[in-house]
Amino acid sequence: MDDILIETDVLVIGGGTAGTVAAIKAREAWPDGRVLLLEKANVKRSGAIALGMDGVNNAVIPGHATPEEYVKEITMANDGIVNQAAVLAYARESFGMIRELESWGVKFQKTASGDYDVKKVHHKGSYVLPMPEGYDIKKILTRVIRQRGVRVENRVMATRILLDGGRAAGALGFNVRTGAFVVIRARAVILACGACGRLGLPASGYLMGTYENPANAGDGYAMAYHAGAELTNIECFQVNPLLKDYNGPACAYVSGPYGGYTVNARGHRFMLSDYWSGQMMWEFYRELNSANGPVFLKMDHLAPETIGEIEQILHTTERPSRGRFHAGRGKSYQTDLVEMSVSEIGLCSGHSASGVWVNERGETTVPGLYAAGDMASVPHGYMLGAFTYGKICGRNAVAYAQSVGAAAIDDGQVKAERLRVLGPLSRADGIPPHQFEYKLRRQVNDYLQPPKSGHRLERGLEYFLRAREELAQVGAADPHELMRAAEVDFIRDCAEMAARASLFRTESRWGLYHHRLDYPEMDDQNWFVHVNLKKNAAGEMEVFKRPVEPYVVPLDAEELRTYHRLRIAPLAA
Amino acid sequence: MKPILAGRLKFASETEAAMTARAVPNRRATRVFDVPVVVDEERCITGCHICVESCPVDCLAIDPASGKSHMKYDDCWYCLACEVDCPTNAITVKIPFLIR
Ligand SMILES: Cc1cc2nc3c(=O)[nH]c(=O)nc-3n(C[C@H](O)[C@H](O)[C@H](O)COP(=O)(O)OP(=O)(O)OC[C@H]3O[C@@H](n4cnc5c(N)ncnc54)[C@H](O)[C@@H]3O)c2cc1C
Repeated sequence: MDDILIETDVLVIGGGTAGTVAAIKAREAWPDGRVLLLEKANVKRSGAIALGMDGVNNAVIPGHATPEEYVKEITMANDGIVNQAAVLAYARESFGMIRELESWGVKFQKTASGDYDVKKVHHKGSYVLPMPEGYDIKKILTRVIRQRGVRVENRVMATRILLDGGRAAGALGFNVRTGAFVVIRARAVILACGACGRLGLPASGYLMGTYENPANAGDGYAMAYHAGAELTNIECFQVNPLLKDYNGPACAYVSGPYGGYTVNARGHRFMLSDYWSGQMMWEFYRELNSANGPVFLKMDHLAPETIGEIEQILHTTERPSRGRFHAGRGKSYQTDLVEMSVSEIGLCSGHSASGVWVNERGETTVPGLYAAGDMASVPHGYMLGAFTYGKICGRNAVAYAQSVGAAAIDDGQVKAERLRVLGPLSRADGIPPHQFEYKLRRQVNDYLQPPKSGHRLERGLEYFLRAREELAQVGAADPHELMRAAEVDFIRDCAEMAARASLFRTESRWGLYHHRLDYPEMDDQNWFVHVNLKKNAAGEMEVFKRPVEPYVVPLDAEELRTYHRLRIAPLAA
Repeated sequence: MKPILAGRLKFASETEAAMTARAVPNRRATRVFDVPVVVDEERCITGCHICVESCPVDCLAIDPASGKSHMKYDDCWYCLACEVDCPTNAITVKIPFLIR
């Protein structure tokens, strides 16, 4: 089969939340430029918001919160380890992004007087903006993409960033239906491939039973790593409080403003805030594993009409199959507590803080390479963070692309990648990718699931290195399996990063996200730094400290600990 | 019980056994799964592939024999995209057995 060669000016990889807006904004900034949006699935139904979204988790809306208040809240929720300039850049543009989404037809909840109906879910401020009619959001974005003249290539999976002397020069990948190898030359590249959602194995044992859209297997993290970019906060895992077995959000952000809250098995509330943070997850985890466990979401005290309203939202958007999951078990929010559990681990800045290092312009440490959304390092970004950084990356990538000449294609890299990525097709009888994946992710659970310990992390790392050899036996009978084979390679890369970063930070921070049993205290003296990693010149994974940039919004030591005071009642013995 | 004696085993050493296992080619067997996406062939329109395009994990395909859609790969995220987008309501998505 012949290779497919595509030329463009700006290449966006991943047509989910951040990627669609990045492509739209790049076209708007450069009407004569070519913008290509590459998507492994189909942009009309891809990514975290494939079935819409029920609310914005972090809107900074004038009259409800200021950008500075937001920066403080996110700094507290991350135990101080943030690049505040990047959070502030988001906060300042967040409201403009809302207005722009509205102009495209996205609907947000308003009060009777026409104000945005902002709710308080965070520990301190009010940032949650419901969008009960958010189910169409991907359709709207797809229409705008067409109107702006973005070229879309669906069902093409990128596997490596093409490099020209250290600068991003495009991408390599393949068509997941035909298996054709694809070479794309670009002047600037924006990565928007979402979270690493298939890192831990769900307790159900069902590989695709993940919180994240399973198409997001850490592709962006691994591609950035192999391109030489720095990644950060990888040890600050994503662990979510989810509907047990279903493994989707319950969702406290939707029911909270109506009066729903988290309780223990005795029906008692034990946390002040249901906003997802490592500190909150620590309290959740402790309660779940105490004599008071399991933990539930409580709504049965609410008026039937109120519960009906909550169900209407939760069963039509975001993860709409929740409704049939409950009904199938004969459970209802009207009469039953909703059983919750702690999820397997993932990497995701959208909910936590792990990502490819970016500054307030969305630049990674590789020239010409930008990153946005769940895979870029701006913490707790959620959906609006992805949109807003998509916008920031779109315009900055255009400025970069206009300032440089065309990149050269490195034939050696193309040849090596073709051989590597198509390799499993020559082993049709090889280990099926799903079997390799099951074992790898089970080992992730065994060794990386927090609370962590040095000895266990070491054993995990040992397996992840051995898994590299096992990968050479993975085979693919068709292009679909080839996609899964390429994904398990990414998942392995992410597991190795997660083990090494967790081993490096010899303290505990971010509640459950990085609780080290062997170093249970937070140690600001030695660890008030980012832990970054990258592929060094020798091709090895190098882990190192990167200082936290001076704050632009100062907090005192007392304020910084705000999220350590979430527990209401003492834990029963 | 028959005692395991050196010399009765095929291999002279465990290392040899492990190394041989590495060199022997991989083989596959098939295991069947109950799948969550069920297509009503009566209602499914031949030539339509809306659901196949909707699926974010690409687990649906058109069966070349029948011309109808079916769940080909056990990768479903039970997101309901196919069910919602099907113009004839031919698709029912169940919660995967391991989860329901
Ligand atoms: C179940 C769930 C509920 C959530 N609820 C809320 C909420 O209520 N409010 C809120 O604000 N946020 C919520 N979030 C978070 C929010 O949806 C995400 O933070 C945001 O959508 C992430 O955007 P993204 O662009 O980074 O990733 P995505 O939108 O997931 O896009 C990533 C895209 O990249 C594609 N892709 C991946 N790898 C490749 C590759 N190698 N080549 C080509 N394409 C690739 C994927 O197919 C996908 O389309 C929720 C997330 C989930 C999963």
